Amino acid sequence: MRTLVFISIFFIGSSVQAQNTGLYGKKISLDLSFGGAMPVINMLNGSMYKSRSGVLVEKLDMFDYSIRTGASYALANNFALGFEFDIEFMNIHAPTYAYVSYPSGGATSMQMKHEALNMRTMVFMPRFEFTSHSGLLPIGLSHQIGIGFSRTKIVQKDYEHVFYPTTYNNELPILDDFDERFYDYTNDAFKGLVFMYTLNVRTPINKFMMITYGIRYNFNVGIDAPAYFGAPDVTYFAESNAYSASKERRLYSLISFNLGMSFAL
Amino acid sequence: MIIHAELDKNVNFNTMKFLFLIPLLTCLTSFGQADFNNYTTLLSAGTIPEDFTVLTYDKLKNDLAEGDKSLRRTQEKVFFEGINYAIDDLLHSGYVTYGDEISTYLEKIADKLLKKDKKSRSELRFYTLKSNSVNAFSTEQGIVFVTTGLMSQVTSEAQIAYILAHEIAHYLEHHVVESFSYKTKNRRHSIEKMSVYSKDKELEADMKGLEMYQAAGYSKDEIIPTFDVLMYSYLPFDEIDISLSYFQHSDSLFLPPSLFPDKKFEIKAIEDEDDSRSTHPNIKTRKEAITEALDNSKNWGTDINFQGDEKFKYIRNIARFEAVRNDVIEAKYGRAVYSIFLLERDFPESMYLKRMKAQTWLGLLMYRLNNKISRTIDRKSDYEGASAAIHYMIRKMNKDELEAFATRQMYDIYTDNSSDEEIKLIWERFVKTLAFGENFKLTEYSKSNYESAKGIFEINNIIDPNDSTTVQAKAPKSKYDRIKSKKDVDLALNFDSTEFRTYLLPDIIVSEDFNAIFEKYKDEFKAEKDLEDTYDAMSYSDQRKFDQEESKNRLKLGIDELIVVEPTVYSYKKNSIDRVKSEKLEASFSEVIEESSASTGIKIYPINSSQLSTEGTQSYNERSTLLNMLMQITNNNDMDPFPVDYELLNQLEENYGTTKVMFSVVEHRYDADLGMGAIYAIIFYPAAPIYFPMKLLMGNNTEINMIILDTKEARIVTGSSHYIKDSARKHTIGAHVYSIFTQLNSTK
Repeated sequence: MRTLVFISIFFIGSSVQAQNTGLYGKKISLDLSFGGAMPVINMLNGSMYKSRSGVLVEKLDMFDYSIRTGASYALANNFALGFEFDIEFMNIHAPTYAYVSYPSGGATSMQMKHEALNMRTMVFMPRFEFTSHSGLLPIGLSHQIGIGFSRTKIVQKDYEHVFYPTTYNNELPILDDFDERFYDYTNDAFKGLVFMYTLNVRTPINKFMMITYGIRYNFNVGIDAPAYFGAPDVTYFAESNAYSASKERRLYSLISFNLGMSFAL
Repeated sequence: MIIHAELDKNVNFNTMKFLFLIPLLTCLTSFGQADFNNYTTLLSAGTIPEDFTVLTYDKLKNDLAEGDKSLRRTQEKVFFEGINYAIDDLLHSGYVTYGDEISTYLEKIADKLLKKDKKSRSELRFYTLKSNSVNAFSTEQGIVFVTTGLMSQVTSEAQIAYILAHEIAHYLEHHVVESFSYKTKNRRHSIEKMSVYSKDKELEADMKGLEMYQAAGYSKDEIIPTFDVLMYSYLPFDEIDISLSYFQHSDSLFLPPSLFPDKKFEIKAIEDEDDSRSTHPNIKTRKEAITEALDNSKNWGTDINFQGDEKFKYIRNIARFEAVRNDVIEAKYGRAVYSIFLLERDFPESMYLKRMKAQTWLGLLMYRLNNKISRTIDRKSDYEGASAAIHYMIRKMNKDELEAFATRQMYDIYTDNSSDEEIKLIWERFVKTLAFGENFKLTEYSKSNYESAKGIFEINNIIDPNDSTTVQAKAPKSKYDRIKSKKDVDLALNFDSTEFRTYLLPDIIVSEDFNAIFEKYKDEFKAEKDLEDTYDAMSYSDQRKFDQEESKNRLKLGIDELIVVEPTVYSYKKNSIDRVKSEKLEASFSEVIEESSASTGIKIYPINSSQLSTEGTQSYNERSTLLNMLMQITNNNDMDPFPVDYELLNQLEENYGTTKVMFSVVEHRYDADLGMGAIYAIIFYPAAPIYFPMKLLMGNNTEINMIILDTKEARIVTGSSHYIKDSARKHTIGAHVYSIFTQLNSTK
């Protein structure tokens, strides 16, 4: 039989193949996967403060993660259309000092340790996928390409922070009208575009479930900056506004890995 | 084990690292003529032995549990895995028979040789290997294979006994494992040094075998001739001159004497050949060693054909008939013609030989028209002995001549046996080949045979001045008469003594039967040609659409029943096959085929080696027949051979009710193939996050190949090859199989 391998290839190797689509005929796939990435470029900007049981600890930001859901319909054995909805979580560096105002008038800057800001992006993306001539979507290795819309916001929560007095006697100044919300979370999210290419593999483990994994390359750009996206009147972001920080963070998020499950219908 | 180094190409070469082979050598017989007139190929009989039914993985487990003290644990795994999978590949190749007349004959010889060693006898099994290689070899598992090629060449039972004794000695002395151990420990030794070791083992087996042979009571006189068998084993099984008249079935058929060589071809074999790099000592060394031992031994028996002279000749004739069959399967048509000539001397009425002869001429025509005739005959440098005349003649004829010559031969077989269904079908395929070949033009052939045409020519053109009658009878021709006459080959005025082929087919070209079939196929050919022309005239995009449409319909055959033979998986690990993984995946492959057939409404009849324990010998024989057909088709690749086991295939159709047979193979290997790109990606490190993940993800390569054969037509009717970048898991394969089955079940 071993000879058959070579011979059969000889006979039919060059023939054009047509196939019926789907995993045992099932052409729709629903994907649920988790994405992860090491934000290498962000790590070059140094460590962040993270809250561990209420205590701020300086750590490198080692991991971005995301939850991706999607659906595809295989129009042919090697071509499918679909869409996906993703939620991506990242952290950005918080400001290292803030301006505060005195009750008696005037203001001063104050150094602080602030927990890294959590950023959440929702992505909606139509996509198409294609595979080799003898592929059989939704299973196997496929190339996914999509252009989607993103909406990014800073997560609203009570971030841990600690001030450092900057007065000569190291005493904290008496503050009036101090608002611990350094960012106005209620402000508009900013919008962006996502250009995506994924090299994805779906390996069936039974007649309707598949393990899916792959590598994803993104190019995220902001398209709609809010008029003002930052701190309220009483305190404000001293280094840069949140928009530019977030935009930069998104832009540098280029590669991630996916792992999850797909279901064929 | 190995006495000569002609390895059967069907025997896994790696296997041979663990095995030693023996090639050896012949008389004609009249015994059993009635049987041979309606010969059918050798089939297995009786209860199927465990060697064929136990899974290789289980055999391996058992061997590893028992172990071998002479090997380290790591060596044991390599050794046992190697021998078990290699031997099982051979056992399941479709070329091995058990319980058949030859195997039974061998078993009886072994009974005699091991009369006093019941334990060893009970351990050994003897099987026949259908191959024209002249070989015998034993394995560490206690299996002794003897080829039909060897059986066709020997001249006595005693010679077989000596060969078997030699093989049994290898087994008893554990030479296979010793050799493996030696080679593993001395990998850096030169071939010459390895050769010395191997030759020592061969001489040792010769001597031990001699003792066993003598004790069994066989004749001393048959030892030395056994080595002659060996030395001339590359020649056909007999050496009888053939003449051109063999091909002239009527006196009026003219074949120029120049077609045949005017000299004899020397037989070049010598006893004292250089064996410094051989696994076996040369014949001279072996003869000398044996002669010395013979001189020092006494009390010899006298048995030559202990089971009877007639029985021996009968068994050898079976092997010789198999030799013809093997030649046809392997498209060694030059050899087949000679073997048929030899056998026809004793079996002139054998319908089997006539069928094989018809297939041979069909094969020669096909290869000649495809300009591949060299594949079917010996190279000029290999011309030796009487059989070389056949190869010489075939090579000498140009395309037109061989086409006409083969047509003549085929037509004569057909007209003599027109009531035989098989020959009739071969004839039809032959005419179809002519019609599709574009080379054959009826107008180029004369309605007169050579002698008549020549006679008329002489009357018309050679005017004897002394013969007044001739002069008066022949009126002078004008220039225009002469031009016109040259346009009509049948005007005997146009006689050309160098164009013998023109006069070979006078009766055929006027035959209504021939013309009806020829015209039918000519029309078919024309229709195909028109379609091709239409395709060529299409624009690129129309061709693309056409191809896509064809592709969609390629598998849509409306199949509702299918014989599924041995779904096979090869999963590669580095450069070798991961046998264990492959065997496990094969079970999954078979499962998904069954599931897919059930859900798509195709009834399948699985013929797997894994089912042999329950299905038994009939299933084994059916499987072998189908594998042999596949091998015949693949050996003849782009030709259209007639199935050598036509009758057996017909029986298969009667048993299963379908003529469609599926063979399928999955291959998988993981190779990320990082190559030099990895170095560049490291140097230009921003590329690394793209280069490495992509390469690693795309490293899986799985190929699912499937072909459907039609036993009636003996050809591949459709096929499918899916190349996917994914691992070879059960449901990955299953999804593709389902896709294939869905299409097979549908119609265009």
